[in-house]
Parts: sequence; structure tokens; C-alpha cells
Amino acid sequence: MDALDSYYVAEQKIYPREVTGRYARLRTLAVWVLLGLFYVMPWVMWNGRQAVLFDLPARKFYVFGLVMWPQDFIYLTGLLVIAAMSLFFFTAVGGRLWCGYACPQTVWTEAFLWMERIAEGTRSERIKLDKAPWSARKLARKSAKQAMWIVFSLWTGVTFVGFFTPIGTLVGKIVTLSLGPWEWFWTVFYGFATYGNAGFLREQVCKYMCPYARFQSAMFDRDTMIVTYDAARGEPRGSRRRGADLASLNLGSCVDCTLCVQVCPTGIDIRKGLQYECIACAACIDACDSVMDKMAYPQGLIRYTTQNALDRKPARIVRARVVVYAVILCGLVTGFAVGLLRRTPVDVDVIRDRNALYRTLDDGRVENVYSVKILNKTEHAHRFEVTVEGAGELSLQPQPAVFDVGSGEVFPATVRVRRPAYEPLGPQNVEFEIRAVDSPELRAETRARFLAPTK
Amino acid sequence: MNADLSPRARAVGVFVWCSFLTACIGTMVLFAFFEPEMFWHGERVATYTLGFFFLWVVAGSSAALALYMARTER
Repeated sequence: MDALDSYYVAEQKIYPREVTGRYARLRTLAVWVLLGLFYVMPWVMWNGRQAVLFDLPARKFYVFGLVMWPQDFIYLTGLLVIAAMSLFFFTAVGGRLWCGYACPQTVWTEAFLWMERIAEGTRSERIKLDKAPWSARKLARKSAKQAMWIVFSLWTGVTFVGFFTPIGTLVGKIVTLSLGPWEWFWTVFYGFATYGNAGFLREQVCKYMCPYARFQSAMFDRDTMIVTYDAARGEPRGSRRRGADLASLNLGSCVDCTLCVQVCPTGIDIRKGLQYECIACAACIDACDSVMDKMAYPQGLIRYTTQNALDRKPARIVRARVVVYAVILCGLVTGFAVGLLRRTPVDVDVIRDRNALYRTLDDGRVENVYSVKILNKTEHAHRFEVTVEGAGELSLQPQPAVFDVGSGEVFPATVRVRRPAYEPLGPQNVEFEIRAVDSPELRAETRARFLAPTK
Repeated sequence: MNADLSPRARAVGVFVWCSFLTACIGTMVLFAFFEPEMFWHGERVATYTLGFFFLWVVAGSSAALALYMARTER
């Protein structure tokens, strides 16, 4: 490791310059929408409860009208697979759209940068401030920034925990300082992670820690949208007066103002070509376009384009890779939607009593005992009737086998199934069915084994 | 503040972050299939928390070891 360390040259701290333009507005919009969703969602109510609440202690997940259970884990898996496939699809078509506009790392870093600008000023003011010796003014500005960051981070932690504990109660507990140790822990832990990632690590996460940044190139081809510098038009670069004749000076369109480097959150020079550090935030496009406007040159010296378009080759949006991703994505989304629509809001689980194989009654019949777990995933209480079917004359105890199950409850019922010993001979499968007495469409069935003597 | 990380700090970042992501998924899968009471009769949130950190440590150890082996290869 020491050998590796000796090659290491510390890069400059990156002070991203503020930028305005089309893509900056788009990102600001994304920040507002995504952070807005995150911070507001726990406060949204639905039918008298929190609309989105992952109630871990009760093992119930509320998503608006839906109540999900650990048994519904398949939907979460489906959602994650769909998210991954969408990432592949959008990366193949639009490049690193995720990195530039939607990744929490980008979104929170943007929010932290915004606070940094409020406290410490523009890029040049920040550089000057950092170089200046410590003074009352520097201390005040740095403390103001830290205070804003810490409060914002802690509030982020509270909001995060608010997805798992009703946020109204949570805030009440914070006010009265009666928060449980685990809620404290997660609030501080998540707040700390936010501060560390968005305030301290920033672009380092993208450059050194993010797996997606490393493998996204596998989804790229020559028709993927990338942020790129048109070297053919820009070179040779150099400074010139406004309105100077480029042909006589032997210059391209690039005025070498280095604004594209100054605005880059990862500190790269896009003019050196596509680099894996580029998160496709398009800040350099905005910066360059503003310079082109000032110079009265056409915009787009740095622009979103594809490698093929840059090489003046025909561009293809529809291609095998995109079609394959799209087909898989459509299939997954359809499957997910169908599964969600067909999801039964009640469920039954039957386990034969393991303590005894079977019992022979005085009247010659055989009895098996089952524990029937009735799961009511609806938002209302229901009375359920259990019935059993199978070969032979089956009877069920108690009779009628009806049980009241509250909303979101798992009711453990015990039922006995009896059958003449030798009709049929030996063990058999039986079908249990539960049905809500007041709404028969709420039903579920399952199979269980009935044991009996074989001779 | 956020000057570039040294290679050693980067390596730590890599295995801490990658094992964090893995542990998140692992925790979801683990507790979707097993009730916390199977492990310990305590507060459920405590079991989830300990489960998460246990998985993080396990995944982190594996990642750190793999990274060490890859970096010290001759």
C-alpha cells in the first residue's frame, strides 16, 4: 500500500462554480421535486394514518391504500429489479441521467452547495476565504455553514426515521426529549451519513465509491447520449478579442476561458474527452453556452450528443440493446402491475399439529389437528369461515368454524378435521378455504396433509 | 474540507460503501423471511439494527479482505 501511496498526488479541493442555464434549471427542478417528495411524504396522511409508513415493529408497510406484509416481499424484489432495469434502459438511451439529476448523492450535494453559497459566497469568495487566515469573519461564515449543514442533516435523519415511525409522534418525542435509543441512533446515523456524503465526500463518492459509475460504461455504445466537447470545432483553442477573425488567427471556437472546468462538480476538463468521472450534470454545457452567446458564436461547443453524431455518422436511437432492455422492462412492469392487481388481501397458512401424527376417536374416526393462520391484509375487520374439502367424509370442528380477524391481524385458529379411518385408506391431501362471511370475494385457499393409518 | 482522498482512504471508502449497499439488501431479505423473534426476544427495531450492522460487518470484512488480496498481489 505504501508503494501505491507514493504515486499519489493530492488533487486540488474542488470549488464548483455557480452556473445558470437550461440544465442547471432542470437539475434545480429535480432537486426540488425529489427532496420535496422525501421531506414532505412522511407528513402526507391517508385515511387517518400516515400515507407512506414502513412500520417495522409491526412488520407492515403502508403505501397509500395498500398494506404490505413481509409475505409480499416479492413485490419489493420486483420493484428493485424494475428499478435496476430502468437504470439500464435510461443509461443506454440517455447516458448518465441518473447521476446528473436523480441520484441522492447529486441531489443532496446540490442542496449542501446551495447552503455553502449562502454562508461563504461565490466560488472565488470561497477560495479566498479558505486561503485567508482565521478571523472573526471567517469563523462566523464557516460556523454558519456548519450550523446549516448540521441542522439540515439532522432534519434529514428525522425525516428518514419518519418513514418508519409515525413522524408526528416522532417529532413530539424529540420536542419532549423522550425519543427511544434506537430512534436517536438512526436519526443521528442517517444525519451523519448525509453530512458525510453530501458535505464532506461529495464527488469522491462518485469517483471512488460508486459501483454504478464504474459499470455504467457497459451499457454505453456509440449511440448513447454523452456530454461532449466538439474538438473539431473548438480546436485550436485560445483567447481572442470579441469579433476577431478566427481564420486569420487560426483558432477554433474554444476561447479557453476554463469555465467548463470551474463549474464541474468532479473537477474534470471535458475537453480531454469522455471520462468516467463525468456525471453528465451538463454544468459545462450551460457554462459554455453562455460564453458562446457572449462571443456571438453558435451554442453547443459542449453539448449532449452521441459519439456517432460527433463522427458525422447516422445516429440510431432504436438498436438491439435498447430494444432488449425495453422489452424486459415492459415485461417486468406488466408482471408487477398484474401481480399487484391480483394480489389477495387475505391469506391463509395451515400447519398440521406436529405433536401428534393423528388421533383415533372412540367412534373409529381419525382426527388431525391444524393450526390455521388467517391473515387479514385489508383495512377492516372481517369474520372468516374456514371450510375443508377432500376425498372422504370430512368434518370440521368447531362447527361452524368462524373467526373474527381484525384489520392487519394474523389470527391463529385451531381446527380439527375428522374422517372415517378407512375411507379412503391412508393419508391424503385436503384443501382448506377461508372466506369472509360478509364479503365472499375475500377468500384464500391452501393445501395440507391429512394423516391416517395405512391399514 | 473535501480535498482528494488518499488511496488508503479511498480503499476504506470502497469497502465501507459497497458493503453498506450489500448489507441494506441483505437486511431486507433476511427480515422479510425471518421474524426478529427467531433471533432474540427483544425490541424489534433493536434486532433490525443489530442485524443490519452484523451484515455490514460480515460484508465489510469480506470486501476488505478481497481488496487487500487484490492490492497486495504480485
